[in-house]
Formats: sequence, C-alpha cells, structure tokens
Amino acid sequence: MKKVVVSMLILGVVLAVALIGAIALFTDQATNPGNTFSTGTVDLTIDPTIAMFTVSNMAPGDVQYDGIQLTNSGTLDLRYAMTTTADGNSTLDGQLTLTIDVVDDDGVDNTWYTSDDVVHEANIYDGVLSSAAIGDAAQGNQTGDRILVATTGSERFRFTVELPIDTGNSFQNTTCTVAFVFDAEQTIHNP
Amino acid sequence: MSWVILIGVLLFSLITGFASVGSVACLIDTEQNLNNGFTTANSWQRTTLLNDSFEGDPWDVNWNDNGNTTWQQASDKSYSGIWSAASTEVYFGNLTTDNPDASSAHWIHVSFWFYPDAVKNNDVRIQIYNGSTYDTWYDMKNYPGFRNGEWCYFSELVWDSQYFKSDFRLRFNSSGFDENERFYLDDVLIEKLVLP
Repeated sequence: MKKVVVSMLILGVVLAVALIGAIALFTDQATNPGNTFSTGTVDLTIDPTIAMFTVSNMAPGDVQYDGIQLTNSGTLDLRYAMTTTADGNSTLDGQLTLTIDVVDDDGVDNTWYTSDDVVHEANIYDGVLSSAAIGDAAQGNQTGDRILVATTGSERFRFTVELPIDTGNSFQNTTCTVAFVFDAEQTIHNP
Repeated sequence: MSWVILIGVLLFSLITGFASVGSVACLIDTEQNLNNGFTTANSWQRTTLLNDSFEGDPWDVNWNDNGNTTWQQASDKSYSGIWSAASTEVYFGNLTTDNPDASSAHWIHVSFWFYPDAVKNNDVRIQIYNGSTYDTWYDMKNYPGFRNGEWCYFSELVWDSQYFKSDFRLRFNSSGFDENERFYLDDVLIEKLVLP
C-alpha cells in the first residue's frame, strides 16, 4: 500500500510539471534603438595662423597695419579672450603701441587691415604692445570677453602697431617678438 | 577591518567630490599667432627744424622771412611761457615758417598746441609748400582733436616725399574771422628724421 501511495505522489508531481510547461501565453517586446549621445566642440580658428607682423628697420613714427579673423568653427557658442606673450629680449615691446579695432568692411581700397577699413568697434585695446589683452582668459564671463555663435560666428580685428614719434635713440637696432594667444571656452553652463 | 575600509572609501569620495566642485569641467580651445617680430633701424638721426614758443625778440623771427607777419603776439592765452601767436578779426593772413632744410627726410613731424575760440570752418588752414603753391593739409576746424575753447594738440607726420625739400615751408593761413573769433598758436615743433 505504501508503494502505491508513493507512486501516486510521484505521478502527480510529474503531471504537474508537464502541465506547467505546456501553458500558452501571448507576449510582445518593443525596442527604442540607436540612442546616441555626442558632445559639442569648442573650436576657435584664426586666419592667418602665421605671424601677422614681420617688420624690420622701424623708425619712430612708423605705423604698421595688419589683422586677424577669428571664426567659431565649433558646434557650441564660445567666448574668448586674448593675451600677449613677449620674448623678453628687449624693452621694445613696451615702447611699441598697439590699437585693436573691430572692422567690418575693407574700405575703398578693397584691402583688409588698412587705414581706411570701416571700424565697427574702435579701440577694444589701446596701449603698449607687451600687455595687449582682450577680456580675461580665466574661466567664466569677464569684462571684455568676446562671444562668437556656433559654426558661423566670425569677426575681424585690425591691429595697428606704432613706434611712437618720441622714441629715443636707445631703441635703435632692437628687436622683440610677441605671440598673440586666443583662449576660447564654452558659454553654455559656464556663466 | 571592513569598517575601516568603508570609512576610508567614504572620506575619499567626500574629498574628491569637493575638489571637483572647485574646478567645473569646461570645453576649451587655444589658438596662437606666433613670432610677430619687430625690429628697429640700426640708426636714425632726428633733427629739429623749428622749435618756437613765440617768446623771442622779435617774437616772429622764425616766420615770414624773419618777421613781418600779419599775426600778433598775444599774452592773454599761452600754452607755455608768457606768449603765443594769435590771429583775430584784425590780425589775420599768413604765418609762414622760414625755409628749414627738410631734404632727405624719412618723415617730418609737426606738432603744436592751438586754442580756437569760436573758430568756424575754413577760417584757419595749415598748409605745406609743394615748390610752387601751398597745399592745404588741414582745415583746423576739421582736425580730429579740434575743440573750441580748449587747448588742443596737433601732432602729425608728413609722409609725402614731394614736400621733403631744402625750403620746406609750413603756413598757417587765416581769414574770415568774426569779431570775437580767435586762434592762438604755441609750442610749434617741426622735426625731420633721416635713416641711413
């Protein structure tokens, strides 16, 4: 009798498992594919990338014009600042003066960065060459920082370098070399 | 032992968390325009052609072929010293430098102080001799630094070599003054610079 009971129990378990495995259910699944995340770019480009100025044989009173175009080639709005680094080999960079104007037309002579350019914003810098600066390269928005909108933002600066007419003889046969450094940063989430 | 490790991990997280708050990440870019070079000439010579504050006796010895101008010496206004040269409704005409030698100049620098009082357009002109006639350089009323009722500074360079002659002449020409109109002139400096 005991064997019969055990056999019945085993049979019951086997049947239960078999029934569970055979229950039919309708199912479905949907997928939202291809979720991508890409970062933007902060990309300030300058033209020219080579030196604007290579001036020799300067005499007091000489004035030299040249300029540079800055373009936001990135996908994010950016702000930028300019600083100047000097080689420190002479004090000539402290004697030369620099005026920076924002120009938006090349004037009657159809040549950019000459005396007749149409000035849109005058004297964004006006002082000695050695400490020339626009805005502040520190992170965040500071007075004088300039903003270029993404992809299309662009502006032109005319640089006017002058050796003042009262420059003394001690500056004869001197040379200085400077670099203009442009630091750009994102504006979004960066007040 | 595990509690010690856990506390250490918590402290590390707190410290690095505060550090990252202090330096918010930001996308940046830097461009440089390098090697801008400036070199001066290895020698130059500056020569003063005229330096006159109208304090001499006679006061106009350097003008109009050693005097005899139609302007007057004035003491009611001067930028330096006691005297200036003045043009009025009564005293007008040409105040012309003698003939300083500006030949072989690289440039000529002209500076002076002037005090216009009620001066109108085309009443005072500064002119340069081209060898046969005088070319008007500026109508003083239109000079960028012009302001009636104030001492104004004129400082300009002559670049055009047609004027670099042995008989360089600069002329102040005045006419058409009204009764209260005045033009005072002081500290006239003319220099030439010669490069080797």
